[in-house]
Amino acid sequence: MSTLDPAAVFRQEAQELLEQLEQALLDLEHAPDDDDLINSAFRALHTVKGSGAMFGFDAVAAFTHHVETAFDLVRKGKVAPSRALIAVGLAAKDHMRRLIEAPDLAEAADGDAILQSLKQIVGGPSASAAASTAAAETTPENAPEAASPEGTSTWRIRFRLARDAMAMGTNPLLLLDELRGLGVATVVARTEGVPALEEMAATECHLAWDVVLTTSQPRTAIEEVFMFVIDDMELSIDALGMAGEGRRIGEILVDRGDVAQQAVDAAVAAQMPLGTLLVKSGEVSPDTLAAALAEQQHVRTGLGAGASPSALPGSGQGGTKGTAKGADSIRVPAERLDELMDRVGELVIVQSRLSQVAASSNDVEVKAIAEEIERLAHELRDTTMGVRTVPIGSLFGRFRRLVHDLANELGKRIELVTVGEETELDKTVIERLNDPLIHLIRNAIDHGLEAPEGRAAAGKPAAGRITLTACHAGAEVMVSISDDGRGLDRARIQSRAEDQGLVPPGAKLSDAELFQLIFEPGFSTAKEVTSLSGRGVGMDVVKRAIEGLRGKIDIASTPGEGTRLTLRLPLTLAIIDGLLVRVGTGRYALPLSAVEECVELSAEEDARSRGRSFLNIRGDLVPFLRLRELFQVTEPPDRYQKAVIVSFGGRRVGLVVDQVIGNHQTVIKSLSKLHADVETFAGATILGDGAVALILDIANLVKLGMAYENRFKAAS
Amino acid sequence: MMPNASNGDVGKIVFEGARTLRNAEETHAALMSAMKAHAVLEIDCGALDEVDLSFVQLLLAARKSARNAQRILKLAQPVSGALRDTLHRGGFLMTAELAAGIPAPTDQTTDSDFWLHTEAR
Repeated sequence: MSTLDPAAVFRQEAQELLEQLEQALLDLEHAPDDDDLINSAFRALHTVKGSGAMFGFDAVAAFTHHVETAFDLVRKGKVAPSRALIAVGLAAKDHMRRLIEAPDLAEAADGDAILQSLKQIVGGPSASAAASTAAAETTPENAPEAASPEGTSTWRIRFRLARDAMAMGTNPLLLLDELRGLGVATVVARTEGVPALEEMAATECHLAWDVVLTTSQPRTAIEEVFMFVIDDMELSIDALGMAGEGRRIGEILVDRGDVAQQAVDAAVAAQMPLGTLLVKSGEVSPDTLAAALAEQQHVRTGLGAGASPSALPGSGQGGTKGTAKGADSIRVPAERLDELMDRVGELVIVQSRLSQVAASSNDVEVKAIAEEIERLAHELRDTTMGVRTVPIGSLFGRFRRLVHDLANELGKRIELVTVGEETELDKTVIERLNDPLIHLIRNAIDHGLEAPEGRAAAGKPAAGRITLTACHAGAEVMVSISDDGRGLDRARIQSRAEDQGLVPPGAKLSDAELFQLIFEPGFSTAKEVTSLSGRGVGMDVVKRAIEGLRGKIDIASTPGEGTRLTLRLPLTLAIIDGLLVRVGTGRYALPLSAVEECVELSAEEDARSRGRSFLNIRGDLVPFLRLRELFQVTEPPDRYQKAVIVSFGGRRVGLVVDQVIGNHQTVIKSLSKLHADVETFAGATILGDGAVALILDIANLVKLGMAYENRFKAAS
Repeated sequence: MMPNASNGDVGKIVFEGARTLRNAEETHAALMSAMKAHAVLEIDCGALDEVDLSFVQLLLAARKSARNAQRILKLAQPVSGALRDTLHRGGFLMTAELAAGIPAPTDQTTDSDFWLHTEAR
């Protein structure tokens, strides 16, 4: 704990809160009457402000304060959550993020401009700082329900210890801790009794405390806390019970004896926020008012929300009720998980060596242990992979903002639907999916969806629909982006591809083949270039990024109905199931997910196909590559050559090898920088006997095979 | 702890290690003499690793003295570490969020402003 930088803790928490704020704002656009959303936005702002001040992010706290004030008015129904307000809210959220993450880059002028427009929307003077005090003076009608859990009661405990209590060995902090142990406590120290330095003896105790405690324990339990110090102290324990709910601050102050009823009446007559007035007139000190506000807040939320700012490391409390969720989860730095994954990788390698040794041994006991370790290593691998996964919803959530902004920019109405947010995927994969998905969504919105007139003409609803879907399929995750737009234009893609010499003129291509062409570098059919897309930069980058994740992209499109792009991604990047093959004396691994089947390449077929290199797989011609030739192996070939049929992006290629050895848990190790541009290999792995096997890059080999096929097609 | 009289009339006093009831008399004396010597006194609590309520109380008392004598007393930086933990445990900081909306009279900044350096607002 001691190594944690509190500022970093705040930044991380703030990031989550800002995401919560953004989600709430975006949802509000569709459901402006949803109180939960308004409260969620308000809570996020409130916590950012409070924690910001606590951790010294003063600019953040000061800025957020004004935004919070505005949303407090929304919460109280005084201002409607209009689109304009939501737009400013989003801008404010961006500014807060800048203030937190890169304060040097945040322009004060930007913040002022945002606050200015905020002020215009919520109506000038009422948005002054005093509104925050007014916030605490919510009337009972619109105060959130104080649902006191069954069987609990709330007590107001006020105590002042004997002057010599500390000198006699009493530690008031321990008493407070004991009170906290009884239930949910809001503790406020009263410091007015502390005299000036010159009038005070160093060891005397002049402090007093107000504690509001919600507990299921009886009154006697509270009295027991003070059992050993009760003699010379002042102590009052009053039941607040349900009567305390939603009370006005004036009632609380009078009830506490902090101020006379007349003063409250006078303040009410003056029609100003009561707390402000009482402080200004000197009736109560700011600290006294704050203590009373704390009591009000404790009773109102029923949780003592303000009692333990959740930002405080080690406070262990989840903050306000809407966000209380983290009690049974812990935060772990990502690099530690990477380290863990590395160790598991090493273990899997050593385990496969052990299995190999055990297999050649006659010792039954060793074999039994090796099997046990194998089982455990696999379980550990699966568990570790599970630890690294996060729901893809966190990624989808980010795109809602993107869609919202693009819709405004392009003047299109767009509805974003997300399905399968709970689908879990390796954290690294999710992070690296961000940019490609942004590209694809932009493309779908810009090219795919028609303008409102076009949609009306096609008899479609005015709002275009973008659907993001995620689901598990075996060891892969499918993420798809679909739109209900005009669909891909076959003819135009084909003519463009012919112009660019990507396909021979008049070539007959299947949909899948044709659509893959849009991933070629420099390919664009857009008639006009917008700021978003149409420059032909992007789709090839997207494809490279997805292939970098060992994933694939499939496209399906129906003219007039829409387009669906499906990304198929492996669950993790670190360990894969591989198929081990031998070519000459070298062993190579293939990702098992790419393998379709293994067939024998009979001598006749081999002879027949000489020069053409095509296999007949149930009527389909599949090109094949002789890895022996590719790797320039000089040893004589095995008598029975095997062809492993692999597929990538819907295309198949046979790889001719000497022997198919079998399944192998492949821990991927990247190649050195020196070998980074060797395209045939995607990495290396360590085998059970300690030897190194190279992992074949399927995407690249398929491309090579296609080159053969195209040459053949062009010739025939 | 080393009172430091350089830099014109702005005094600085640095507390480090443990400041508890055991050395409260010493803390008291140090604060007294530093406040006599300087119109503006900055207290650096960044290097404290153990404090109890006696220390918190002495700072509050010094704050009151400074206010009475029209002098300025401030912390070198917002509270952190052991001091912040003690303040939090003792219920001194919990009003910070609530106090943020309360307009303080010019001569009466709130305690939370003092601890958290929010008085500039």
